[in-house]
Amino acid sequence: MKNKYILILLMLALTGCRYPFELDTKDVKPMAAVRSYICADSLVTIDIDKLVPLSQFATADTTLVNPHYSLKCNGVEVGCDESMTGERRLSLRTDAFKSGDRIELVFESDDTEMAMASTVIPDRFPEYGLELCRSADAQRVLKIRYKDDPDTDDWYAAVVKWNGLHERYVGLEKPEIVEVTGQRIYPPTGYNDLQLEPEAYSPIIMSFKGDFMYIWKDSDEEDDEYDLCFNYRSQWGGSTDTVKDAEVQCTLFKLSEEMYRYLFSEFDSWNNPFSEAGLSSPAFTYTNVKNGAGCLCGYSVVHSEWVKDDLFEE
Amino acid sequence: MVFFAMAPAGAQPGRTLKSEMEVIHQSLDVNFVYDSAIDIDVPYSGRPMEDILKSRRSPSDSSGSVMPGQDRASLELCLKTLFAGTGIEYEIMKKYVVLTQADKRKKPRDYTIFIEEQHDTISESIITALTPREINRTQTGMQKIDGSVFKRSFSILSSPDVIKTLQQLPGVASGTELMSGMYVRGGDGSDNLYLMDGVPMYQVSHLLGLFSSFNSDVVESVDFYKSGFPARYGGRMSSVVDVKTREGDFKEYHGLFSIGLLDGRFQLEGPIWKDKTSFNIGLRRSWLDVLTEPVCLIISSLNETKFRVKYAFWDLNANLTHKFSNDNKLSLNVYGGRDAAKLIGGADNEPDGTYHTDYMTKWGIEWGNLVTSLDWDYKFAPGHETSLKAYCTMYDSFFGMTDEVRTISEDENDPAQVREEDYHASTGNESRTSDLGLKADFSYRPAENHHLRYGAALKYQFYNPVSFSVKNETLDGETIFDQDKSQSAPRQSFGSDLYIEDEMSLTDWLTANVGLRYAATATEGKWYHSIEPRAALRFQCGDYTDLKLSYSEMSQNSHLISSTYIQLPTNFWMPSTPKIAPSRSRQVAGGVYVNFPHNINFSVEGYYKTMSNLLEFRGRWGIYPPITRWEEALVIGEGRSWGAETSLIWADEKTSVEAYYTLSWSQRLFPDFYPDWYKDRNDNRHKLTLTATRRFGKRFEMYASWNYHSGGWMTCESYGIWDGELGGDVEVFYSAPNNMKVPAYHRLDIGFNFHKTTRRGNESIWNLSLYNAYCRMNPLASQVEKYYDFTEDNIIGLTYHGVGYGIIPIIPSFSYTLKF
Repeated sequence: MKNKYILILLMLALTGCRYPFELDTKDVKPMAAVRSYICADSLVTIDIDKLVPLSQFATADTTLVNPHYSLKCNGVEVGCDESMTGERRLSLRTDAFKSGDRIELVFESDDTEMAMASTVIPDRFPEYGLELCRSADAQRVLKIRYKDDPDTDDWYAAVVKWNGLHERYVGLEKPEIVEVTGQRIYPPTGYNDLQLEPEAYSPIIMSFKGDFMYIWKDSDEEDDEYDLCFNYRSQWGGSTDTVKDAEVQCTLFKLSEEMYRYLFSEFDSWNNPFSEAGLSSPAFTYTNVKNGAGCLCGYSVVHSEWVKDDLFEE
Repeated sequence: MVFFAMAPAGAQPGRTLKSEMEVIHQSLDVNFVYDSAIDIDVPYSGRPMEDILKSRRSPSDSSGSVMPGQDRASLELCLKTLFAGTGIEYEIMKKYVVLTQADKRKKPRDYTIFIEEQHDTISESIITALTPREINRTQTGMQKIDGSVFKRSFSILSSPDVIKTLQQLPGVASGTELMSGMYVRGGDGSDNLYLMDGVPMYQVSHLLGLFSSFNSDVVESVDFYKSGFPARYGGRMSSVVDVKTREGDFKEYHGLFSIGLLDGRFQLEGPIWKDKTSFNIGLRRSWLDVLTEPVCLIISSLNETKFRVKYAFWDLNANLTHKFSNDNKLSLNVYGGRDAAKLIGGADNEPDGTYHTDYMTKWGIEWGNLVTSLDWDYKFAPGHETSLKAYCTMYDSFFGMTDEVRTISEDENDPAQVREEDYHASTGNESRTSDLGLKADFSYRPAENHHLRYGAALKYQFYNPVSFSVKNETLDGETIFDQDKSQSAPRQSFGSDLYIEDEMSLTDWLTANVGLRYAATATEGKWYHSIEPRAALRFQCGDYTDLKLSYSEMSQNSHLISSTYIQLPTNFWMPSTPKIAPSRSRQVAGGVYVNFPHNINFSVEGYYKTMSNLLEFRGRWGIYPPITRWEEALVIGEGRSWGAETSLIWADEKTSVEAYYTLSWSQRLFPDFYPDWYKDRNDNRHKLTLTATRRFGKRFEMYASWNYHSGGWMTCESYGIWDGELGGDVEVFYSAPNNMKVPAYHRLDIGFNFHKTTRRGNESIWNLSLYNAYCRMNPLASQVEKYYDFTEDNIIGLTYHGVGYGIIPIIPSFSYTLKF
């Protein structure tokens, strides 16, 4: 009889390590998601969707019922083209905003709370210079030199692309020549193409409109004159390969604070294995939409000239 | 509690209760413990005690002592005579007589021990039972816990634990199951000031938090503050845990030996030079490795592999005290503790044609503390005391992995030649944090109801986190690849503190403890100055009730850099820097504290607390925070918490029942995560702790403790939209950080102590404990699970629920303790 009790005790002790529980979702009501990256001096698109609780996902109606909105630029109402609007998404188009414009959006529908968001379109990236050179350890370096305004908090981003003729010899009698156009510089994982020097917490590399974007803020650096260096090489670069007629272009962004935070939180969410189990900080929830989700944010962009990369030919 | 040494007998002119008590004390070697509200200086006109005692002396005995075996009867007769009609009740407890007022509704103020010298012959529990509750202190949120309490209360794996006991108190969230986390009134766990004999400790856990570093065998008392911090404390934001260890006995040798399921303990104390110099040593060591080593050897030999798992911790407390006189004392305190875990795997491969490979992977974790202090306590005039302290505290940790591969192969060109290729790679983190400090504390009592404290401290702090990544390859002894990507980020800071604190009774009904603390810290040329006001007021509303109010500000210049919420050796400490300012808390608290008749104490205390410059870690670093540019991986935010804590306590000589309830809110604002306030992950709305201890006769006692708190919070996807047509991918959104509640936590712990006296007169104790007696699988971690519901040709919905992972079942344990 004693053995029986011991067995029951052991079974109790060793079972039930993993168990499901119901989530308390009674306070989770439908709300709006606003998504818009507003580029200075470019046409504007703002998408608004109705978010439904995952707990009701199979049955919830995702149609926006009687949506109405107000979009203001510097306090003045702005008219929008709604022709792209569908049953489940309100899609607004409007003319370009300029750097320094303050954009405010208020949205409401019959089954979502009033959502509000605002942002300020940042001014242009500061004056800069580009230089291609070799680092001390013979890495090819694209150096972006610019001066930050020490009196303001600023957030930046950069995308680097290259063109060239790539000759591949590996396993071939004749070289295979591939014309590379607008080739993205890949993140360091896998190909080790791009990394910020020296020993940065970064690179923070986001996929933004199909490109890999490095983002940073001015307080990451010690003073107001920066040398931002990208060490890079071709992702196809075998030891016997050559690249001819190469040229590099750098696209430089100035971001609104909301956009920086939004991109950073997305980056964290992809890379933080502990947070889903509640064992590290909740880094993937950024929104600047009150009573909603998503992000209404702005940026400005400048494209550098294509710079000939003679270093490939050394 | 206030201790007064008795004046020499005969010093009092005339006969008073006190002079008669002195006669009893001298003749029968009996001490008195009494509420200081009792006036014993009143004239006594009854039969003199000397007469009574003379009448009971042996005719042949000229020494003046009473007849053997008649002590108790003589004492009872004396006490009955002395206190008849005085309104004073007495109770005889071994060599003590406890005096209380007949009117039990009158609350005790504090207790005076009427002794010449305390030999501590009394059971510690009696003093504890008499220890006045919160009502008699000016501070809010303060609890003084006697060392003996830990032996009777909850003990995980039959090993009593200070932090686990504190976790049960109201206002303290325990965080992850079994860990030594203490989240006090919305704190983040790294903001508790742990003091071991006045010296700060950076890390207080063994076995990843299963045990704390405080060995209850040598703990004399713990002062725990959640609010109303006196100005003499500073350096952390949320709580103070001031652990004092015991000096050794100056007269006799004694100690204890204990062995439990996971650890063994040994404690020994006694005089080196009787009445002058004493020592007290406590040693703990886990002995799990003694079991795992032979098991690993068997597994290795069966599988022909190299397999080894080893974990051990130990700690040592040592105290050496020398009394130059009753007013002049020098003490040396040492604490050392270390945890080490190793996992080794590998194999020697049989030769396979032309090559032979041996490989080995080693994984190791270590952490430990070394705390030393030299204290000089000197009373240079009546009412004037000084305490000088020189101290050093060091915390170091290590987490690393090593791969070693040796390949022996034939040379392709010359089969007769053998090539030896060695590959070695090590990666990991290690860190060291050290403080060197000097403290001077002064105490001045110009009057009985006025206590002035002031002091100064200087400290030098050195922080050195290191990440190492070394790869080395050799061929026939010659290096063919050598890479060292190790990084270190040493930082140092210098700090000084000044404080003044005045505790005074302004009127019969108003007591105040007001103070001011100034702290200055310099790191990398950046100075931070902090002025921290502290004030606590106590209004005595009649004999039974107190009202208290307090306000305090605390700052914190050292920050725990941790990329997860788990206590890992990869975490490290860093000072405030030009980019990271000191954290700061402000707290106002107030409460009502009532002593009801029949030893029932009730209190309710409310608080509101704000915290600024809180740090959270962001990013992709797994368990390795970045060493060199850690500041960029942090985000800065704020916190606020508020709530009410109630306690209801009843105790008599054999039984004590305690009930604590907390209703609290705790929130965070980190604009990088979310633009509005959101719930802290330890925002446990309700917390209830019920404990009871009961002694049955002299040989058996039991305790039970039931702990409940509302679930913590986790962050999970709560919204979605179909991306494209219905049935396509679901794009998910988060409503806010910490948006979903995990299941409530509750468990029951039960323990039994069986006391026995051995043939040699020593006390032995068998302890049996059940942790989590009804096997509630409380979640250690939780996450959301969601998956599509399919029909044959379409996705029709989403199933969405939480999943908890509980790994701590019922844990029975035992220990055997022998006191000698």
